[in-house]
Amino acid sequence: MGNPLEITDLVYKKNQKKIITDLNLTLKPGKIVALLGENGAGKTTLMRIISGVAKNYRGTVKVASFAKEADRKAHLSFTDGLTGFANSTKINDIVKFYQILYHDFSLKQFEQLRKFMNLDSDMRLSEMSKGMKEKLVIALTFSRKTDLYLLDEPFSGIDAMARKKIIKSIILWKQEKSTILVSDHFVNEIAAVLDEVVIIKNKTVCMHKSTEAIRADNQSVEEFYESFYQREEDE
Amino acid sequence: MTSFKSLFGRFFVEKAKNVYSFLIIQTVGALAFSVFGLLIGTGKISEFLNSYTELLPDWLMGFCLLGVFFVIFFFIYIIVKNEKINHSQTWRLTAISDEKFYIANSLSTFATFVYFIILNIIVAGILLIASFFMDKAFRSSCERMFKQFRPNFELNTIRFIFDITLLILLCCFFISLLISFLNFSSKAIMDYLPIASSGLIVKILHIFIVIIIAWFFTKVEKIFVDQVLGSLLNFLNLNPAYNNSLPYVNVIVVVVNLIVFVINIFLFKHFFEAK
Repeated sequence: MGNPLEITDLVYKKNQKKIITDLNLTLKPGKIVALLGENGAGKTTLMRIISGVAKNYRGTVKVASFAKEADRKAHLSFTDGLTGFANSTKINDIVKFYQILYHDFSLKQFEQLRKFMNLDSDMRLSEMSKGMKEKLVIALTFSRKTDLYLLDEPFSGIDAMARKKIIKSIILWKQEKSTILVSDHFVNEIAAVLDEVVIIKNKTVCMHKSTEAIRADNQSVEEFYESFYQREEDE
Repeated sequence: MTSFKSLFGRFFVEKAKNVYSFLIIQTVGALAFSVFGLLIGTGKISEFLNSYTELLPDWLMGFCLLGVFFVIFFFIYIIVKNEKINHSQTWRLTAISDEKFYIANSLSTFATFVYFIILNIIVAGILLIASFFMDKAFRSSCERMFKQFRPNFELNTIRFIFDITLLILLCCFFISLLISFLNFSSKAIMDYLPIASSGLIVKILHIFIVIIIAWFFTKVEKIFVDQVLGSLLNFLNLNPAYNNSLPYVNVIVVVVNLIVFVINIFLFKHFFEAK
């Protein structure tokens, strides 16, 4: 297996506007990487391109050395909003869907995660709060055994206590060589588990640094992120 | 990778979920119509109870009449479902190529529609058999009808029935393809416009595309059907043996369906993003 993610010269336009331009990014196996940037910076778009959902882009995107969209989808797990299911759908039915369509889905792993998240498998989507739905999405995402996990703001609706518990446990759920790319606004809370930070600004990756190097400069990830924007504003 | 078979099966299960609800509503609705019809006709419950055997033939009649509307309702429902799946990120994340995804979705929609029609025929058949054995008057009128009826099971008649059924199904498939085309092409155009998507612009685009399609088909009909396909069919000696142009029309509809199908696959693969 090559790198879990390799992006070369990525350009994505919509309505004649460039959303992403000349983006290059390579992630090594076994890392947890934060994808940071302001609202509208293109974090979600980038994840949608990687997962093969967004179309009509230029450049190369490879997941585990595979460039074809279908192969990429087979080697990554993306947090999905479960919008394809009716509100009356039970968790059990969603699990069946995952079992049939994803060969790498582990029911055993899901059961462990479901219990960890305190979710009842007979619950319907309509009975779940935003936070509970997000917990379910995280459980489903990590129940697949893939090379790359894409987590798009996965904790926004989850209460502070549960969020901390989940973030601490993320490292246990992924396989040793799998890489996680997570975009989130709770930089401080996810900082403890991060290996690298990627910052998107001006429609491209403008900073890719290891947390080790950040800490070597006597900065926390949050301070680094804030000072990065401060520097940009000063300039 | 997700296999075509498992995705097709999953699509079918998802779409067939409401087949039984539609069928139950149709059956119960027909029963309600016939009960109320008899009650209003007799005026008294005791008289109605004496004539309860008439209920079954009435029920059968109501079921068949409602069937026409329910098949149309179900067709609309299934097409909407088809488009929702095409647009759904949950479904589009499955590890399969866009071509196979689109083919599996379209064919499963068609299969579910045919399944609903078959279930309708089965229920109508059960009601017919029950009426035949439980209602004497119905049985005798059926027997009288069979005696008078001289079935003409010539090859041409069977071929005609087959051709007309095929044409109706092909036309239904064509409508579903056309709706997908409208959706995909308007989305593709929308993404290239300098302004963000809005309901009004999408509607204007739909109207514009419909006009283009109408113009295009008129032109194509003149060139392709009259000259190219006609010559090809003559050359291959595929002209119908009996005096009917239906097989000829069916071949044309199949060719048109295939063309729209290929265009849709292209648009879906390259331009149609999930949400």
